[in-house]
Amino acid sequence: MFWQKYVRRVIPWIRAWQGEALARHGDCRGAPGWLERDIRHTLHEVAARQRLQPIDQAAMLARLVAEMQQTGHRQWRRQLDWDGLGLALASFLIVFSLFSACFGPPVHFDQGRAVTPIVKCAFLEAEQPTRASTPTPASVGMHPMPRPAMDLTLIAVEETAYPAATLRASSRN
Amino acid sequence: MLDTQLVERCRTGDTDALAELFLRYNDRVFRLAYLVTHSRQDAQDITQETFIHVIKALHTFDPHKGGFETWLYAIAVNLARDHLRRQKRFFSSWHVLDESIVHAGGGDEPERVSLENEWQRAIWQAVNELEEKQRIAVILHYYLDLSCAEIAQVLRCPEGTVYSRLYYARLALEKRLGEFQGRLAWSYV
Repeated sequence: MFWQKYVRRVIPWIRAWQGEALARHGDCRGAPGWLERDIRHTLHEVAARQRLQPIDQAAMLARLVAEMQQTGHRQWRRQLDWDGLGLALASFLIVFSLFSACFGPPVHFDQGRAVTPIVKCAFLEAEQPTRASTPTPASVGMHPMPRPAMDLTLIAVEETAYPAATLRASSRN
Repeated sequence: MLDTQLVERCRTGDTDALAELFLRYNDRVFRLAYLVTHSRQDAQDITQETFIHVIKALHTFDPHKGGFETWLYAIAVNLARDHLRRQKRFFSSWHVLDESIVHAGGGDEPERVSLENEWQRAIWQAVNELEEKQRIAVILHYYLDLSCAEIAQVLRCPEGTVYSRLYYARLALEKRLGEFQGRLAWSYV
């Protein structure tokens, strides 16, 4: 029946509410003192007759110590697994770098030559007016502007070993 | 030394701390297991399993959530209940009574001792006839002297449920023992 599931849900709530109500009125409400006392006494009496023998205790303790050492060993091994993985990765990287340093293609660290033309080009581009900002001669009705002279000092310094004065003299000629 | 300090030492692999914890609690765990299962052998197995479980789950113990003692009892009770379910053991109270309650009778008052024996047997039988959940709540409350809040932690249920179980358990015990008292009174008339 459909209502049964609602009843099943409601019953624990009612019980909990009832329990809380009992708690508010005190733990022992309704139970006579002799009952509480006698139950407690009987359970203690029954339990007191049961005791682990010292030999059983010793065997149990030995087993527990062995278990603890085994657990510690297992944790240590797990840790070692992760450490080992890191160690293997690090050694692989070291060996790889050493191998590539010895047998790989030569790498030139003299980057002056590679960088200078780029710098120079960037410099020349910057000196030239951009297309968007430059009006075309036809639209304005003017003569095209002369190309600005290159800075020979820069060329002398960056591209050639000649002093700037020599370059100027040769350019005049 | 406090339990939490011992647990911390156990976490570092200190076997002396483990031994101290074991010696502190093994009797109580064993007796609790015995009261639940009624078998010495099972109680011994459960005690050992409980402490092995403690060793394996030490890293999950959080002292802010509750004391070590309640955590330990929770493990023991769960293992005992699993044990019962596995074995599907249904108690025969009379079988247990004979070995559990044997009073050394006083020489001068044999009648009083006999009455006391019968009374205790009746209580023990009445406790064992309770529903399992009520029985465990009664054992935790009256044997281990745990408060209802602590029992709620052990059984992982609301505190109100514990009050409710104890209340109904007391009602049932009162009824059964009342009947027994009546029979006892008639037999001695």
